[in-house]
Amino acid sequence: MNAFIRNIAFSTLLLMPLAPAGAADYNTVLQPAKPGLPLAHPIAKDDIAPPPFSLIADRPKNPAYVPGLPGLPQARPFKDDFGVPRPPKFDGVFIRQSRVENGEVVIPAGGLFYLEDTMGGEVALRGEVMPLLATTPTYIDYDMSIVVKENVAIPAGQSVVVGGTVYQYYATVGHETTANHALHVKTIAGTDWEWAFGSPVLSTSQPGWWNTRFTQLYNQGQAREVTPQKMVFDWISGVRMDRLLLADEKLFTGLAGAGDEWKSGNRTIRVAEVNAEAGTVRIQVIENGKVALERTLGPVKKELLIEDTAARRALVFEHGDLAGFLSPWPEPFKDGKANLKIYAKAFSLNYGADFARDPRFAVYPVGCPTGHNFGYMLVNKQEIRIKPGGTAEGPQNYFKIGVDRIEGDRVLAWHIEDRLGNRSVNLGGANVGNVDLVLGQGRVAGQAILKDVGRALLARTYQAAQNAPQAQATGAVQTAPAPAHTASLPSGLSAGLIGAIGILAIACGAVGFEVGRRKRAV
Amino acid sequence: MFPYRLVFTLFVLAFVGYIAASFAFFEMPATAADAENCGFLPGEFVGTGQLTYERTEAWWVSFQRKSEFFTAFSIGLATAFAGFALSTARRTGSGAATGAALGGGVLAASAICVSCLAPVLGIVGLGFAGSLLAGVPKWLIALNTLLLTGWGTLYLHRRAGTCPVPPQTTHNAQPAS
Repeated sequence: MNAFIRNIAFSTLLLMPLAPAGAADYNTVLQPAKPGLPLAHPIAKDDIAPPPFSLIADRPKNPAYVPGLPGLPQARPFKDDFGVPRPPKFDGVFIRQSRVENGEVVIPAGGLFYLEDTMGGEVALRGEVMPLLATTPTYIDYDMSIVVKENVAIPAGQSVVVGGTVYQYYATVGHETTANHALHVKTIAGTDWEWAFGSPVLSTSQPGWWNTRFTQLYNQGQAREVTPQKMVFDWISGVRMDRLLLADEKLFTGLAGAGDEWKSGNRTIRVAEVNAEAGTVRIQVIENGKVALERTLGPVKKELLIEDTAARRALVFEHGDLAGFLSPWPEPFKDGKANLKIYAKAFSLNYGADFARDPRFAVYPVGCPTGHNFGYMLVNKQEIRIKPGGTAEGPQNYFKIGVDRIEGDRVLAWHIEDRLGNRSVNLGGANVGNVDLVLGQGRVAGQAILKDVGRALLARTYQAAQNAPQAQATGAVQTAPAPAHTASLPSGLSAGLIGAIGILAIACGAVGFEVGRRKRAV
Repeated sequence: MFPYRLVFTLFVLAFVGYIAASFAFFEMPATAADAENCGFLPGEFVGTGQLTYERTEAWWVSFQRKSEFFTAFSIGLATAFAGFALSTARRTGSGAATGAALGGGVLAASAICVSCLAPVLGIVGLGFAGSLLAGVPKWLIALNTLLLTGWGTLYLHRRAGTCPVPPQTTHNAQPAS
């Protein structure tokens, strides 16, 4: 019931209009990163619902923890085009709000998500690899917007979603007649920005805090009421990563002069002109002998890169599944040539849209207010029901959730299995009433979300470890752990085995003797 | 004349009977050690008497992983051979027949020793034989059983065809004079 009420409140919040007509122009209200700079991202005109269960209260309950599986790898190292090591990439899988109903496991829509759980920010225009399940496309560019909501109340202990940002009224700390009030800032995926920005602390009675107006890049807010019971904001903003542009195929990277061209299918990408003095390069895409796209890229505004939207737009072109950009690094022009990167098989991951490669899932890129990306979520759109003995497939069958045995409202046995067929240990048990899960060791699964679910997760893990030796201790014999099904295989030449082989030889001789005697008799 | 019907019937009865007994006496393991002994992986043991499988499925998993079909095959052969030996008693002599039948019984017992049935039944005295045969793969026991019973069958069949012996009970029934 609580979840139901919470969802109603959440939906109501979503229905609140963004910056209504006649309201303040948030382009001027919001502070840029530095006086004189433009806001790096545009202000969103429309709200897009975040994935279900984005609130803190919707975190996994008493979840199982799996550090990873061979087919759900952890800490994969990648380098960008400049040979610079990028933050390692982790596969994460989360299940929340699952339950047992009528002898089946039920995972509601939005309850299961895969997270590309990067340890640090993913940066555009650098040729950085961004794993997409079993593939490793290159991250090219992104669209981010700033979402502003007005008249937002956050009761103590609860949270709200603004764009892709989750604010939680975490605590009030009193001192004599004064107090300060901490607001925690996370993402819809659970990334805690505490390590990046800290948590804004508001106070009208103690100096040195944010008072009622906080600014952390594009996470900003103006409170009109801050009490131990609730915070009420006139307006509060967060960021939303609207789109990631990636590509599966690199056509070219390097210096290119006028007349250079590359083919992809029946399309030709051609450098029509290089103007190093003006800092521009003119690109043409030719289809069926006609110029289908003509774009002038540049000049490079290094002081605004990589995050400023307009500065990036000036460097990037897209045409169908072709994309490319004028690279600012190490230098955009050299010896009369332009430093270009050209890609084919480009595609987008749009916030809240279907994941094109498996439309059973919706995709939600996760953005940082700096303009860096923090992975993406692939979220189930429809409710999943799993009978005992059944499985539910993750996106593109990248993993499976298997339910092995249910008894009453307890899940005695279930597991997660990667695409290579590797299974986790049994995650069920006599005290397990759901299939809530945290898998991985990335920024979210291995760090941030542990603040919310770590205690229950550790308690459950300890309980499982405690039960195992106790169960063994009740037996008369302690056996060394070994694959049980190998027990019937020979383990060296024991006396019994030597005897059996001897009997085999004698029996062969005896049968041979009998057969020979019969032949002689005939 | 070889009693095909008798041998085949005994084989099938013993084969199916062993499987039925295995199912009937199967108990969900009480400890992780018992579970491992019955062929289950540590992760499949939930708690006392609880596995990640229902009882029927658990039995079948255990039956397959412990290669119990070899045991059923061995017991079927040994039983069929013992029956065949007793059926030839009149022609081969009761001593030879009894010895052969006893041999068949020993083969069957040895097969049971390393099966999953013996521990569940808790049969006293099979522990030593079981531990002696524990390192012997079941397929080898089945192969030995096949060869030994095959040899015994050939031997008894040859002897029955060449040297019929009147039953001893006929002499014993003669009144003293």
